[in-house]
Amino acid sequence: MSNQNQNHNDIIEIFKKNSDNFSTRTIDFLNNTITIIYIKELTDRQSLSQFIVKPLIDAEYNSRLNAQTVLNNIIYLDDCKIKSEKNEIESFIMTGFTVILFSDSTDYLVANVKTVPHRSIPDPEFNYVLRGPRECFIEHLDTNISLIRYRLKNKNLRISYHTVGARSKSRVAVVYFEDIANNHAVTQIKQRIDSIDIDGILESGELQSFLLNHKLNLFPQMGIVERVDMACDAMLEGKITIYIEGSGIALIAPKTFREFLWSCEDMYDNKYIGFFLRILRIISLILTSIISSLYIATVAFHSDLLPSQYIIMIAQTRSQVPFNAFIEVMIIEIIVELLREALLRVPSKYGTAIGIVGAIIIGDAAITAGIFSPLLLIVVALSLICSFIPSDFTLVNPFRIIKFFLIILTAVFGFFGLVLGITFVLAHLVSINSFGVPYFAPVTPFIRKDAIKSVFYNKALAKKRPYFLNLKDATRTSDPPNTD
Amino acid sequence: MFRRIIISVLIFIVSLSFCSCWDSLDVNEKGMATTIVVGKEDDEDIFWVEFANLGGGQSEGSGDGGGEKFTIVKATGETYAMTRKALDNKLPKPTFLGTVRIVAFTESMAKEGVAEYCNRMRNLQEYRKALNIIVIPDEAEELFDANKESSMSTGHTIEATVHKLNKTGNSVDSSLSQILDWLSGKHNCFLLPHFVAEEELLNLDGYSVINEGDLVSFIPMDESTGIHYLLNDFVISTYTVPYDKYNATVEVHLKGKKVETSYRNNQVNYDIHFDFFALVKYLDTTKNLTTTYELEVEENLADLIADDLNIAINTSQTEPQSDYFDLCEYFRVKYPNIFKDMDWEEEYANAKFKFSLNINLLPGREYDYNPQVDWKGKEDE
Repeated sequence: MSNQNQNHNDIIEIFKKNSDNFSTRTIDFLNNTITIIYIKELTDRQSLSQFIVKPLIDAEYNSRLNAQTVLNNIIYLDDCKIKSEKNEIESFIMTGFTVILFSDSTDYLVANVKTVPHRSIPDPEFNYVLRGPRECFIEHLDTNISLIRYRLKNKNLRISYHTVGARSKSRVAVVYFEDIANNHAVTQIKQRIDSIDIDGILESGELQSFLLNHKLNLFPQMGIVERVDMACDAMLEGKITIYIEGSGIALIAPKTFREFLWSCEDMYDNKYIGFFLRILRIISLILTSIISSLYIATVAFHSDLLPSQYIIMIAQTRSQVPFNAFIEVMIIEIIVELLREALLRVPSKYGTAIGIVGAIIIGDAAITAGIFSPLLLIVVALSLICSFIPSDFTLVNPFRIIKFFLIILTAVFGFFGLVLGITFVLAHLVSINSFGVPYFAPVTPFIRKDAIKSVFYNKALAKKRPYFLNLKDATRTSDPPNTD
Repeated sequence: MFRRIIISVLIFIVSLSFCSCWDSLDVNEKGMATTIVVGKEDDEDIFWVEFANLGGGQSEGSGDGGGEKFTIVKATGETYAMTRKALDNKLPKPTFLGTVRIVAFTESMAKEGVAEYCNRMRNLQEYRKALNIIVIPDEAEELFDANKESSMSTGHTIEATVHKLNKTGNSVDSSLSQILDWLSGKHNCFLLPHFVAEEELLNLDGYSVINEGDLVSFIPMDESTGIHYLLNDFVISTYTVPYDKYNATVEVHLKGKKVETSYRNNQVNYDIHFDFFALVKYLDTTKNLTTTYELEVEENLADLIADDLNIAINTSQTEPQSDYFDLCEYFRVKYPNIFKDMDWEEEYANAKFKFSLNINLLPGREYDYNPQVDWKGKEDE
């Protein structure tokens, strides 16, 4: 017996000793021992028996079997390959492959009879639309890739697989159009994925934190997407999508500020409605950030801004309130945030009850008791409603924090503080980038055509992809002849 | 990095401590003044200030009960500053002047002069420059009493009246910014609305003529139509125009005017051209206007308007001898050197005026259907 065979035996012994976790099946064939090693929880055992074990037992060969012969003539499996690196055997088994070892050969077969229990294709949870496909990604990477492949039937669609996590060995797929996507961004993303050194990554959010250029930044520089059509559209736009095993949410990069305010419905629906909705989202984002601060600035500092009737009306509604405007706003904003979190985290059966209790406590009892002014309640309710209007909650969340930052600045400096805070936020937004693309493009740097398309967009009108993405192929028309 | 963060936080805290507005007060912690009346009595200045009562919790205009909505506070003193001090001594909250809609001078005070208090308002930044200034009789309490049943403050009631009339050109601009502008000119002469309390209502009964800051005369409202034409760019007024043995009620719209001035034989001349659009609203007969009658109505209407204009000019030239129409500006622009050396009040009193009126009369036959009238609106004769 050669040294290699001896080594195979060592490995087989290791796995046999750990028989609780690994399964082994040995088949003797003309003095040649074939050992099949797999993890039964990750293996489709019916397929294993039917397409690998049974053909091997039934095989009528006069000569000794080797990996090539078994692959070519015996087993009935499409996804099977010959390998010879001994140190990879463990890795293959751990990731769910079935490894077939031959006692007299260094070569071995790696067969894919993996099975992982997974959900059926769900409806969208946070990318909900009235019009448009409802297929969403699930936690199974291969299913997600198949959903992409089904929609984008082009040979230039590239899928690059990586493994991250020393212990989790999670598979990551980077998907993009080779002839469209920006090379620099693709390389950057692949390099950052390969350089991840961590024990395990289980969700795309964790992966995202390793890929960002500014790791402490408040604003999201990568998009998240759960709907297949949105991911496909992003790739057609020249973006790169990233999927990780075990997560039903894909990442999109690069992503600019304006794209967080977009929804797929804008494209599917009438362009004028799309234009109206985008403007509405911008207004709602501004309102949700500053309306509480405006209330403080108006009530405590610059009452003269309002017509005199309204000043008197506000003063009358606040006459019983024991707190100053800042304390009043902070209390009610914190209560609203608590209610929001409670409603999001609890099962839907409790959600209604919490909503009713919140509405009664805040909406009625607190005003009757004179704790809050009715106007403030309208202001905060408006702020809350506005925070649900932008289609991407990852953009709204930073603004929830910024709202408190602006409230404090306004309470201290009045309108000046509000303007100062807004200036600070805008200065920050224009100074960051997402994988080399300016975050506030196409406003800064200003690109006229892209800026118009930011609010007034329709594929029939926009034959070119955004200039600021610096893509290989800027036109949306059919592929150039030399590439297809 | 850590050091930088510490320094940034320190700078932020220091700037917070030294630069922030810790003395700001919420709007409900201030006394909301809505009307200020400035009067004079026995060589003492008097302030009557109307404050909105916040405690009731009823918004202005809601019309609900819940006690008095407004409180009148009176204070006296030898000077404005002392009067204000006396007023502050009576108030639990600092006074907020941003809600003042009307500053009224009593006639006695206006005769003494309005310039000082206007300058005071220029200096007090809280006053809105859009607030209106009016003149009232010396019995200021009557003004507040007349508005007692109203859900609006006296200031807002008067302001609403002035604004409503201004929309149709039937009042004059008496905003603080305009008054300050006039007061800063060489020949400052202007009109202020004069309000009186009548049968528990606040009534604009005419205009007080202010010359060089002092009240010099009063023009009743029924002599003021010509004043509106001369002072405003857009005026709507209604005339009852006699024709044949009937009367036509006509709504007249001033569409534009052009003022030309000349100086011949040491005489200031004005040629003022008016463009009117007139619409016959109704007649006191069932017969519609014929073409002949239309011409008659047009001619008679022109005479009525010309009469109003002549009354307005004659009043300004004779009684107060005040150019409150600011016509000197046209002359000054055209003849700056002559104007520099002349006594404008004397020249204005002797100035010649010529009016030309262009009236586009629309008979307005769109009445109810009358089978005796053909579709063009001409009666079968």
